[in-house]
Parts: sequence; C-alpha cells; structure tokens
Amino acid sequence: MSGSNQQVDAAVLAIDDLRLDVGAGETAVRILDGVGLSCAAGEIVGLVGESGSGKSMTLRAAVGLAPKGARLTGSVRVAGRELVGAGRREVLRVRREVAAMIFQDPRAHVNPYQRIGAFVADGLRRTRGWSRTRAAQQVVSLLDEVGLPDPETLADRYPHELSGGMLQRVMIASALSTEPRLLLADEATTALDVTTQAEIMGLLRRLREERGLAIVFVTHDLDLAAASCDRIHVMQSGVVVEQGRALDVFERPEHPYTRKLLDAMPSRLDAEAPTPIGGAA
Amino acid sequence: MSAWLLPLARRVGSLALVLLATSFIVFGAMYLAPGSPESFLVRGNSVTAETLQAIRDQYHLDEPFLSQYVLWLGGVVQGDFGLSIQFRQPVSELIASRVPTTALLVGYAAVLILVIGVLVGVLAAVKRGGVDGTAIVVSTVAMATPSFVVAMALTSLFAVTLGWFPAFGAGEGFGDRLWHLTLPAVALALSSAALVLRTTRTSMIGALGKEYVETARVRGFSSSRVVWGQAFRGGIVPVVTLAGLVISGLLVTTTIVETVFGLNGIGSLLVQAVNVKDFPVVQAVILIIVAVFVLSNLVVDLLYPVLEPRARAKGGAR
Amino acid sequence: MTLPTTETRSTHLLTRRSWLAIRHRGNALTLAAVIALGVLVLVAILAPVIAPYDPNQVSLIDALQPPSAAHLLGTDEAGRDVLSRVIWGARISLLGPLGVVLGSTLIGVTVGVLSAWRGGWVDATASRFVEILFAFPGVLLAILIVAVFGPGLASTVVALAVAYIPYMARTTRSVALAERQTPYIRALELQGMSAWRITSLHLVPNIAPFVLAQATLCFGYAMIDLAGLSFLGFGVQPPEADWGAMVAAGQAALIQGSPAPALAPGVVIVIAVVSFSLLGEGIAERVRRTSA
Repeated sequence: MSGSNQQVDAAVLAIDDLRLDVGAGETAVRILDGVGLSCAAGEIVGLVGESGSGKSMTLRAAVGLAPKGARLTGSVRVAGRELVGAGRREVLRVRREVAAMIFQDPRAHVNPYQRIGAFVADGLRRTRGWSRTRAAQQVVSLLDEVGLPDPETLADRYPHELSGGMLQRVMIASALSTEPRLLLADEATTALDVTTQAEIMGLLRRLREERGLAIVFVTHDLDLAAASCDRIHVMQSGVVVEQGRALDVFERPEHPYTRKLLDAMPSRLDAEAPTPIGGAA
Repeated sequence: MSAWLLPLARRVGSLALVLLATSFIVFGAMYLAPGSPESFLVRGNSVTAETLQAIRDQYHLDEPFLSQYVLWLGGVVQGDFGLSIQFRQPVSELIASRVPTTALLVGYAAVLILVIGVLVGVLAAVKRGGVDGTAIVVSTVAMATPSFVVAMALTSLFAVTLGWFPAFGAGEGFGDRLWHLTLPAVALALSSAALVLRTTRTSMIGALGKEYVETARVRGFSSSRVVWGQAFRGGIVPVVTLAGLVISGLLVTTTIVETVFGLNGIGSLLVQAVNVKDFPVVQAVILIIVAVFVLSNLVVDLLYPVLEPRARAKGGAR
Repeated sequence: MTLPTTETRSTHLLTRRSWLAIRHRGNALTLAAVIALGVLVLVAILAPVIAPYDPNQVSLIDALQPPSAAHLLGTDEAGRDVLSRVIWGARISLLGPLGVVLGSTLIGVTVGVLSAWRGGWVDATASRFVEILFAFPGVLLAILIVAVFGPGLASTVVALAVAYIPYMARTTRSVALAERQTPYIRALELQGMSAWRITSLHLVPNIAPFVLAQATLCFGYAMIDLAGLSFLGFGVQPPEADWGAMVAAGQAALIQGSPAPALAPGVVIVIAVVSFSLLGEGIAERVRRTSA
C-alpha cells in the first residue's frame, strides 16, 4: 500500500498502526503489531495468513469486536469514524450503518430459532425501526438479490432446512439489509465446497460492482485471494509482512512467508491459478 | 405430521402406563396394611354397621381383588373417588372445594419462580462478576433450604417481628388472598426459583457464547436486543423443560407449606387425611398430584418441538 | 475447521487461569463441606459427652428462655435446652438419610448394572420400572406408606429409599454402559470370566466414584425430604430430638416471638444440606476431571 494520505481519506476502512495486547504482566501477548490496511469503495482487499496470524482479529477490530480485556492502540477509521477509544454508542452506529460482517460457518452464525425472513428482517426492524410488513417486502428483494430461489417461501423456512451455501447467501442478504458501505468477510467461503465457493465469490464481486461495496476478504487461501481480490495483505504473527496488487503478490512474492504460503498449496496452484472466477449466479 | 405423531402416541401410551401403575399402587396399598381392608379403612373411627357396609360397597370388597381394582378405577376415571370417611362427603367435592386455594398458591409461586429465576439467571449470565457470584451463593443456600425452614424464617421476620404479612389463613377476596398467600408462595417458591435461576444462568451463558449471538452484536443490535431478542430464545428451552417439572412438583411441597400457614388446600387436606386415617381422600389426592405431574411431563414434551425448530424435522419428542 | 488462532489461544490462556481459580475455590469449598460434615458426624457420635443438658429434660419453669450463657440457644416450649436437642438430633437426622441412601444405592446400583449388562428385556423392564417410580415423588410415596403403616422413621426411610432408586439406577446404568464398552472389560469377557466376577470385581469398583457422587447429592435431598416428613409428624415422633420435628415443635414459640427453638435446627439442616451438595458436586467434578 502506498500509504498516501489521499488514499487513506478516500478509504471506507483505514487501519493504521494497530496494536492489540491481551493479558497483563508476564502473560501479556501482543496479538497485532502495527497493522495497516485500507479498503476503498468498490475494492476487494484480501487479508491472507495462517491460523493465528491475526487476520481475523484485525477484521474484528474494524467493527469494534476486540476480545475482553484487550488493549488497542493505533487507528481504525470506518467511513471516517475513529473506532479505537470510541464509545459504545459510536461503535454500535458503525455496525448499524456502515459495516457488516459475514462468517466462516453460516450455520452457526444464523439464529437457528428464527425463520429466515425474520432473521434477515431483524436488521431493519431493530436498527431502523421498520414495521414487520415493510421489512418483509425488503427481505424478499434482498433474498432475490443474493440469488436465492423462491424467496417468499424461503423466508418462512428455518435455517436447518437450508444448505450451507444457501445460508451463506442468507448471511449476505442480512448483511446487505442495512445498506452498509463496508463488508467484512471472515473466511466466508472456507467451509463451502469448491462450486459453492466460486458462486459466493462471484456474488461478492457482483455486489462490489453493483453496490460499490468495500470488501475485506479474510482467508488462509492465498490463491483464492489472488483470484478474487484487487489487493492483498499477507499477515504473519500479527504483522503485515507483504502487501500489493493481487497478481504481483501472487506472481512475485517478496517475503519468504508468502512464498511458503504459496508452496503450501501446489496442487491448487496448477488447477485454478489466477484465472478470475466469473460472475456466477 | 405423522413423523412426530408416532413418537407422541408412544409417549402418551407410556404415560398412561405410568398412571395405571400409580393407580394400582395407590389402590393396592391398603392390602399391604395389617388386617382386613375394611378394618384398615375404618381404623380409629367408630362406625355403624351401615357405614361399614357402605365402605364395603364403595370398595366393592365382596368382589375378587382384581375386579375391586377395576371397579374402583372405573369410578376414579369418572371423577368418583368415593366418600370421605371423616367428612361423610364425596371425596371429589371435598377436593374441588380445596382446589382454588392450592391453584392460587401454586400459580403465585410459579410466577415468582419464573420471574425471579429467569430474570436473575439472565442477569447473572450477562453481568457475571459480583452479581453472578452473589446469585450463585444465594441460590446454593436457597436450594438447600427446606420449604418449612423458609416458612419459619419468613413468619418470624415478616409476620411476627415486622407484622407486614399474616402468619395464618388464606384471606377473603382476591387482593386479601394474595396478601395472605405471599409468605406461603415465597416459601413454596424459593428453592425452585434457585434451581430455575441456576439452569437459566448456565443455559444463557452457553447461548451468549453462540456464534449467532456474535452475529447480532456485529449487526449493531443493542445489548438488550442481543440478550432478549437473540440469546434468550435458545437459552430458555432447557428452562421451560425444567420449569414444567418443578412447578408440578410444587404440589407435593404444598403439603408442608399449606400445613405451616394453615391454608385449606389439597396439600393440607392430604396431611389431615393421613392424620385422621381417611384413606379414600389420601388415595384421591395422591392420584391427582401424580396425574398432574405426569400430564405436565407430557405438556413439556409437546412443547419441546415448538420451542426447538430443529427437533421438528426429527419428529416429536426427543 | 481451522486450528486455534492466536485469539482463541490467548482466551484459552485466560480461561485456563480462571479455571484454575475456580478449581482452587472449588477445592476450598469441598474442603469446607468435608469439615462441616465431619463436625456434624463427630457431634452426633459424641452427643452424650458434649451436650450440656439432657435433651429430654422438661422444665416448664425454664420454658422459652432466650439464648444465654446457661442455654446458648435458649430453651424450647417445654424448657428443654435447644442446643442439647440440636446436638442429640444430629444422630437421627443423619442416620435417616443414611438409611435412605444406603437402601436406594444398593438396589439402584444392582438394577443399573443389571440393565446395563444384560440389556434387552431386562433393561426394558427395569427402565419402565424406573420411569414409573420417577413419576411418583418421594415425599408422596412416603405419605402413602405412612397412611398405610402409620407414622415413624422406618416407614419414611423405606419409602424414600424406594423413591430414590431411580436416581441411583439411572446414573449407574449410564456409567456402567460406558464402562462396559471399554476394551479391558471386553478383554475380560473374551477371557471367559463370569459376568458376576467382572461386574463385582471390576465394573462396580470402577464406577464407584460416580455412584458416590450421586449418593452424596441424594443424601442432601433425602435429608430435606425426611426433615419435611418429620415436620409434618409423619417421620420421627416426639419427644425424640430430630431437626425437622424440632422446627415443627418450635412453630408455636416462634409465633410468640421466640424464634430460636425453630430456627436453630432449621439453620443446621441448611448447613448440612449445603455441605452435602457441595461435597457431591466436588466429587462429581473430580470424577469428571480424572475420567476425561
């Protein structure tokens, strides 16, 4: 990343020199150490690293979800609002109005006690005070937008009646309901089979185009990131070790850790290297 | 539909078996007593030859044992529990006149159990720390305190020392009755409320750690929406199951609480009946309490798939 | 599934520390419970030595005295020393629940092991039996027995012992089923050892800690139920000193403003039951940890 002020200001998400520590005294652990990252409207930024590299924690910091007792320094600006040191009210406002998040395991992240329609509608009803009927109409159009068939019937069903891929679309629909500018995807395709994964990636790319969403895509899968993202940050042990345009990082990795990540998945390298996945669905 | 109709039918059948067995135990018990059944039934009471014959007729003692049981059960099913030996009055009427007091007392206690148990349980799960610690200590002691000890402590403090509540009687009129029933209801409710509190707490801690609750947080829902709108719906399921059993179990404890506070309910009726050796009343009250117990079991089973959408696909009760 | 990330690892660290704290607190509580119960048992055994007065010494002139140096807990409505009665009452108040627990454990473990080992119709029949008993609340069964045989400690203890069988049988059955699947029990079976020898020499000793935990918890419940029955006049008969019966006898004095004769034995019941439940939880926790 160039780090120029202009780019940071235009960014929907701008993280700068973010540090996060948990524990105290001898057991203190530094989880993030000077992380910087930005994502502009209409951009997909990949955040790649192994488990424990701090990529998910960085993502969570963008919606004020630091673990209990964690100390945060640096800057996290979402649509110009500073979240580090912000009050609860400000954090809630960012979550309601600007940022949305989808997760690795949609089955666990969708409330199993709510019908799909009620789950998606909740965002509109709870944060905007929409009436049940008004929200219900919007839900149908959202479910349609994310490519779910027969949205009216689907809205009446329970999560356990749907497949993982369908549930991830439901998650996306619910994330879109409040018209966010920033979408945070935490390993959002990892638990899905390859075909569904491609479909979801296609959907995210389409939403980026149509809605001008800024998307931060966290994954451990470097070639998936290379295929789908505009820029990539590679993280190791709480530090961004390499960043740049997706193809550059993929084809000319500079940091040894990035090379190690690439070497770790030779089979996929041959199979579906950076041919961008088309906008399915 | 039929997918959970079959398990339901099986469940109802097994509950019917339990009730049948109970009725057999309750009926057969008088044959365990030393001496003949009629001497057992009238023991301690001086009776005329006619009364004795009436009792023999009531229990069909001239018939063989099994037909006695079947004839007796046939009456019971129609609500005919025979005549009270003490009061010379149909047992069913006697019980019917006592039911309102017990129903109000148990209802009052049930409200206390659910409101206090669930509210404090959720609060302890959400706040943790000092609130949680206090709730655990208090509920540990409360669960270990027998209802009659609670009753004595409450009477001593609120009736004798402070004079806020009466120590005896059920009162007249609704407001006065509630006032009279407050101490008994608290005595009846305390240990169950503590149990409900514990269960709610554990279950809500589990629910609050669920990923879908994190989703709600990320969506910017207020804390109360996260707790009551998202976590509570799943967290309450085990509490409902427990509450059904606990509340029907209160009927047993009414024997003690109604006796302490001099309330004319079916619990104190059972105690009096044992004391004056009025066996038809004893049989009837015990059977009714077990039946309520078993029925609330069934209701809880039926509620489960309503509360747990994932159980519906697999059919009926778990 | 992903491997633990730094985040989860660090929370592991935190939970581990708090877990240690809880364990320490748990151990301290279990220890406190053991001490409290030890004291109660000693008091029961040494009652003749430590009780300051004869528990049945009626002295109407001394009736309902407030606590004083002469009578630490005061006197009851018949002028008897409350402390001495509480001390003597420990005997029957502890022996009653002990009888209940021994009886229900003996039968419950037998039924549980039998149904786990034999399975099939034995298991089905036993489960039905257990289910029926479960529907019959213990106190209610005891009241029925009292109605038939008349009041007394024996009737109530036997009735509660029967009523508590399901709790012991269910626990035993489930742990015995799990134990039965272990390779070493399988090996003993293959070696042709008789079922009786395997169960009595190996299976039962191995599940004993689980049974002990459950029995300890039941002890507390049995104490509450027996005290309640004595309170109603169905259990221990006056003038014998029993905590439950003492609370009942003290009700009249309590309403006249002398709460000690009723509340003192009440508080002791609470202490005993809390101790049994803490001890039972402590044993259960320990068993869970060692078997995990």
